Amino acid sequence: MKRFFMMFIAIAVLSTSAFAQYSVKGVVVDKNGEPVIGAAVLQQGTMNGAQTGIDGDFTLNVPSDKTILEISFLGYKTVTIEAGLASRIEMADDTEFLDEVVVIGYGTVKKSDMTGAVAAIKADELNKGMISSPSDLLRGKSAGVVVTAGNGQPGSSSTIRIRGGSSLSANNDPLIVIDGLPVGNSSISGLSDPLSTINPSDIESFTVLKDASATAIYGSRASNGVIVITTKKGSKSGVAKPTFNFDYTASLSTNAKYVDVMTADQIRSAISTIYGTESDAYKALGSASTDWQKEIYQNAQTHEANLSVTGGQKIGEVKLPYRVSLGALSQDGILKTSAMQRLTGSLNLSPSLLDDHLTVNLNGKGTYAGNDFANDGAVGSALHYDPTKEVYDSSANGLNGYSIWRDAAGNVNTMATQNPVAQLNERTNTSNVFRFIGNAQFDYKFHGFEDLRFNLNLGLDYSSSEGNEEAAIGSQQSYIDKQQSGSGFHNNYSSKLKDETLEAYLAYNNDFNGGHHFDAMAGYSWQHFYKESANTKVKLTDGLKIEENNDIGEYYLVSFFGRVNYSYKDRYMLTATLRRDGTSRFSNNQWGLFPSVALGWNIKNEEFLKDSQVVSSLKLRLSYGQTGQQDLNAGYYPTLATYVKNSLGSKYIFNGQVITPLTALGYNADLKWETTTTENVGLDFGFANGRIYGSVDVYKRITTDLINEIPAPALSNLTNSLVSNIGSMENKGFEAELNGIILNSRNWSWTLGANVAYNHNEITKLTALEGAADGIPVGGISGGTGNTIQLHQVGFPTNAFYVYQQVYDGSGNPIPGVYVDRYPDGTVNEADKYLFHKPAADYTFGMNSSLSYKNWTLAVSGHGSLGNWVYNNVQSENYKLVDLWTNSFVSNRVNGAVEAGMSAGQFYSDMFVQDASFFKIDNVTLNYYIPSIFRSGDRALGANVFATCQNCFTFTKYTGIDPEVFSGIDGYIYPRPRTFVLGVKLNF
Amino acid sequence: MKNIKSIFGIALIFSALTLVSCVGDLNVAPIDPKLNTADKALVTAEDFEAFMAQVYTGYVTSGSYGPDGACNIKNVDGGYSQYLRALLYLEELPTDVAICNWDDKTIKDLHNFCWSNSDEFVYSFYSRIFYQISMCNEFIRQAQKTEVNVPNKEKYIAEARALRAYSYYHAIDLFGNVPFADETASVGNTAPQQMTRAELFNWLETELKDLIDGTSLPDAAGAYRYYRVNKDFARCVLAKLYLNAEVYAGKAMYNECAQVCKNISGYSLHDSYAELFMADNDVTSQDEIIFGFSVDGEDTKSYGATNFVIFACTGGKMDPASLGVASGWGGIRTTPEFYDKFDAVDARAMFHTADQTKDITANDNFQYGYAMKKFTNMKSDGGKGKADGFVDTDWPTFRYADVLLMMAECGLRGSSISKSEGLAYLNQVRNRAGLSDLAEAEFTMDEMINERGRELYLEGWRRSDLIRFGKFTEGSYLWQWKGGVHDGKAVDEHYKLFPIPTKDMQSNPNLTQNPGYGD
Repeated sequence: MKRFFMMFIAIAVLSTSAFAQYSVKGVVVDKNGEPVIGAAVLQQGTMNGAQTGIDGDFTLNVPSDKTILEISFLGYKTVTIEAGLASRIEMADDTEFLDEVVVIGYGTVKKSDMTGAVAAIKADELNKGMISSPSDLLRGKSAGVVVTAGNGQPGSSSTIRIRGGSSLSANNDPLIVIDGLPVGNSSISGLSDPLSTINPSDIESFTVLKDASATAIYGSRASNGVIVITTKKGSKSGVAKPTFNFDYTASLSTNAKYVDVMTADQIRSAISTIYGTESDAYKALGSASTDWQKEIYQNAQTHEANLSVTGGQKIGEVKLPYRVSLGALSQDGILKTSAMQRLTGSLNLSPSLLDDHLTVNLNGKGTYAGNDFANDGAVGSALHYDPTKEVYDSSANGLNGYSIWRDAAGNVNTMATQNPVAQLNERTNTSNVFRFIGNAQFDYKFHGFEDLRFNLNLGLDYSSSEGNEEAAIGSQQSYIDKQQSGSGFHNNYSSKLKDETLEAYLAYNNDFNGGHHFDAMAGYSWQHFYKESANTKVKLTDGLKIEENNDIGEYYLVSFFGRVNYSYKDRYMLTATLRRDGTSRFSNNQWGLFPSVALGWNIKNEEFLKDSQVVSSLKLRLSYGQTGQQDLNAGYYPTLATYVKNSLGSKYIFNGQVITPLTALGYNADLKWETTTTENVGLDFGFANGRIYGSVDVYKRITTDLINEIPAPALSNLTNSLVSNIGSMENKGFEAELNGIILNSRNWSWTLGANVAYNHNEITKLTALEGAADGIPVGGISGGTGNTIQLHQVGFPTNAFYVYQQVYDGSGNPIPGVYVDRYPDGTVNEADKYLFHKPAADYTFGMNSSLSYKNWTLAVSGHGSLGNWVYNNVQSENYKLVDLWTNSFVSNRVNGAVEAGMSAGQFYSDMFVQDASFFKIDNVTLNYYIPSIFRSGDRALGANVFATCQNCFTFTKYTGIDPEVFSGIDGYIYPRPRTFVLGVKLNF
Repeated sequence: MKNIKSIFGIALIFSALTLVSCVGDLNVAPIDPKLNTADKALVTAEDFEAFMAQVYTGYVTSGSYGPDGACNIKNVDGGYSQYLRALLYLEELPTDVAICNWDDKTIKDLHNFCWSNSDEFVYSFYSRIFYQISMCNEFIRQAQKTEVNVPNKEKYIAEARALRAYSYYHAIDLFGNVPFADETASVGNTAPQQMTRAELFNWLETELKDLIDGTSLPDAAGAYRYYRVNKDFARCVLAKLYLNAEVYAGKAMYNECAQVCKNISGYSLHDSYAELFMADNDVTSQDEIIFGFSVDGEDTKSYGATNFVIFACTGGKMDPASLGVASGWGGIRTTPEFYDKFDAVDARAMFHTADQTKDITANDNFQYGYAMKKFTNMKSDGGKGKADGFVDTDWPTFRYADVLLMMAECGLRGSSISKSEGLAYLNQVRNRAGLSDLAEAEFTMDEMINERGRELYLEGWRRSDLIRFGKFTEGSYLWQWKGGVHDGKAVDEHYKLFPIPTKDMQSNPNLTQNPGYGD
């Protein structure tokens, strides 16, 4: 890597612009003749360029006077001109410079015409660093879009929430649409993040649809917002010579923080103080001094390379723009034995036929990923395993060469903490995953009636995975598993997902005299979702099956939808959509109707503001609409009376005859759509010729007929708990985004963007009957069986912590096991618990800054949140002091546990619910841009060389490893690494 | 050229429009071969036998695949929502027999007598009882209406009724006033009506008598001996009902109890007490065990039933291998008060005392309190069960020793059985344990309840027995940590019944809460 980097430095130094034959000197001015400072002057199709100086002047060497130059600057229309004519270039104002075309559901819209709350995000190449999943690109970029990274396992999945979640037990993930194809976000075994199959460097832009006006066109699957991903395409002009992009990054990841547990000396002294030096506990101690966390983590390398070719070819009369890309990634995890290898390939062909009346868009993306999953149980074991023990023990006391705990009789002590190193090394879990996402989109403009077009989209999302997991014979983990008793196991698992989509719509678009614009669209959509998964687990010793599962299921969605847009003089806009959705999940209530309406007022286009120099854009948006939800986590047939054949281990024996029982399952024939109603008011603004722009939104989302698993009255059904449409929930909030170009001079430029969002979530109804209900316990914790720390309760946010109020002594120390009798009846029991904070933040914010000086750019991005609380499960479990020595093994504790003096577990004390507000510097990148290393004809080889630090720094009061925990329960989580990246991008 | 273009356009529209027929795709049926809609699931006699098997296995497993997959009771841990484990939590933990040091939710509240209306262990067993009853009702409904030729249909329906009565017996004993539904109810959202304890008593008495006097339920013979519920099973449930009639219905019915017990014949006490609780008890002990739920280390696995008793009682420095298992969960020990009831020569005093303290100084360590090793996964020949992760030991639901002790109690309390006749039954049980005869003067109520404790501990009867003898909540008998204090204390009388869980109170407007639990 080092050598590679040096080579590029050398090339950079050697390169001069000596190869060019023609030198252009010119000046760039605006319509008033004032110099335009900082405009980019580029040799078209290359990276050879210059920037205008303080007088608008520039000098550039190009191959000939016929070479085409491209001059661009924010706020002005881009000019293309031959080099020989470029001595004075006048740039016209671009009044609609923010008018990017934004991809929305079933079409595109000019940003100035948008009536919904929509955020368009260009994939920020510069800030990329080492990012293996597209969701990471979204972090902190848009107000109200919260992306929480998964754990440190390479390829682990992020959780994306747009404006909080609108469902309680149903899916809260936003709908992902890739190049017009809605794809499932359901996970597949062996692949933790389905989105990670998209190579981030193939992404052109994201559009986040937030309010119902924007999302309702996706109806049933859009209650939690929609993320539209558009990948890069072939040359826009249709015919162009191929350009090549290549990038290579090498990274080093390290563990950012360790848990402060007792060292070998500290535990020796703790045990001698508590139990005495004559105790069994003291005698059980060893003489080593092992830092188990250091034993399981490593500094890990990642290498990534991407190559793409973009161009356009004319074949006969057909223009064929194309883009082909290939990517390879090899990533090791910081937890030893974890790794991921990934190959991606994508192909885009977008030919135009029949005099440009038929455009075809063919997209194919294939991914092949190989995963090595570490046994992350080692993360917790490393905190608890006795630091006075050696890693290895080849004597008879050890097991398979590792030190272990044995009971008094000499058996493997199956209650004891496992040797963390053995846990990692004695289990392998590898999987191979393949995913193909492809669609063919045909867009036909009717001959002689070009205002009308027909669009047909056929798509397939197919993935399959196969994995193998094995624990060695005689390994400690195999003794601890009751099914194995030391036999070892082999588990073969596989799954297959197949989502098929057919969508067709007719769209009509016309401008009428008098400033009337009208467009309308009507369509039909059919989707089929199929999933199968299977696994077989056998003992290694004798091949006896200990687990066998095989599940197959499918469902269908069928929809009819339409949209009407009307605008008058680009000032007053109306959008109305209607979607009728059918699902096979609700056999008796298949259909749901989801309307939306939105109004926009483009104030900037009013006479009184039209010529304002201060206000460059101003638009008010109002919207109201409904979306649905049917993606419940209760299988595919929740409304049908079904029977299931029992499987392995759940048979019954009548007098030696083994019978496979048949179980009648509970069902709710009345289940129907959950509906979310969103109201949104927004304002988009831009000042100073667009140097400052942003938006503000206020919204309210009410979810009714909440799909909610509630207790069924005993004896009323065949289950104690039934998925029903009972309950409602509310999300209220505001969002603000502000972007500014702070500096823009000859050598300097500085852009700054910031966003902030506030969301308040409250459950407003949970049960059929009024009155104080029990709530729904959620959030399982480590320590004890079946313990949960959170509760869904009416009047409170979802997942609020449900705990006892700790009593403290005069000096502020908690008194172990003493809680406030909040329901004053003399005893402290379940009735005395109360709801105390919640994991979701009140405020989330994102920030990014990009500062350039000449060819250098320093980019920084960060995100944070306020009012998010975390249950510190690591601390609550480690404070249970009796576990220091019980059941004949030493279990290490965190520092502070001995002082806290809590003998028994105090899992429900509110002292473990802690403020985890934070601000993280996610990414700092320093980039050096070399416009031209090498020239050949009119082409130049340009390069960016960059260094990045990811997950650089976290500002927080929280004492655990990482305050950013989506579930709010900070257990033994494989930590997210800090990563240092060096990379180079080449384009030719 | 122009023609081609129009044809292309028309073809596209046409192909799209024909697809509208795909709306029919919304009507789906399961494609998973193990899942079937009701009309396709029950089409042969074997299907009904399989459904019957589920009614049985519901008492010993947690869900559709072992050990705790696809649990029948939702939103509760699959291990502790298993029927027999949930029963033992409520019948043994609030007594002198057992105390548990785990951190599982409110498990300590049970021994401490401070459980609340929202207690998850109370909810678990409540849910399990009514889940079982729902499954019995559904079986009866489907069997009654089927047109499939099921040769054993009447027997099956009677079996389902007998098991339903067994679960209603647990309902009347632990919860008293409970919702009621039989096979005439529909499956859906209809909230059932509540029956008072006395009303349920009458229904149970009628139902059980009908089963005993009728012809559908087989006698305990052939395939119906031990493995399937039979008339003697129904008699045992009825005897239990009469024995506790004063508690349940406010009237003493010891005469009726004595009569029913006397009709249970053909059994004797098994020579070895220990073998009754071993991995091969289905083979060795059919002479005494009237009915046993079948448990198997390979085919019938769960973290409940006998697995729970054996694993939960093993911990500290005990050697799990000596109990035929690979590990222990280190949870349940006994109180010194209960331990002291045993004579040193008593064959039933199966305690592990080495490395354990007798005194439970605090309930946070397995080694405080003596451990019990009554249930094991060892076979009578010294071998082990099939696997050491899950046990083969069947759950001895009703034993003849219990019948003898019920008759002894009827003799002592006054019935058609005289005191001396009753004492003879008691002494049979004592002799088997290696104890000498008790003299008639020594045959007191205290001796009676103590004998029941020594004979039947950890078998799911202790709480019910202590209540009948006035020693459950009262100050007349204290044990360590009763009421949450080291030396024990009297607790409020309302703890004699468990509350109707808040979850059911909230979903069923027809319910009234048990006294002392608010509302």
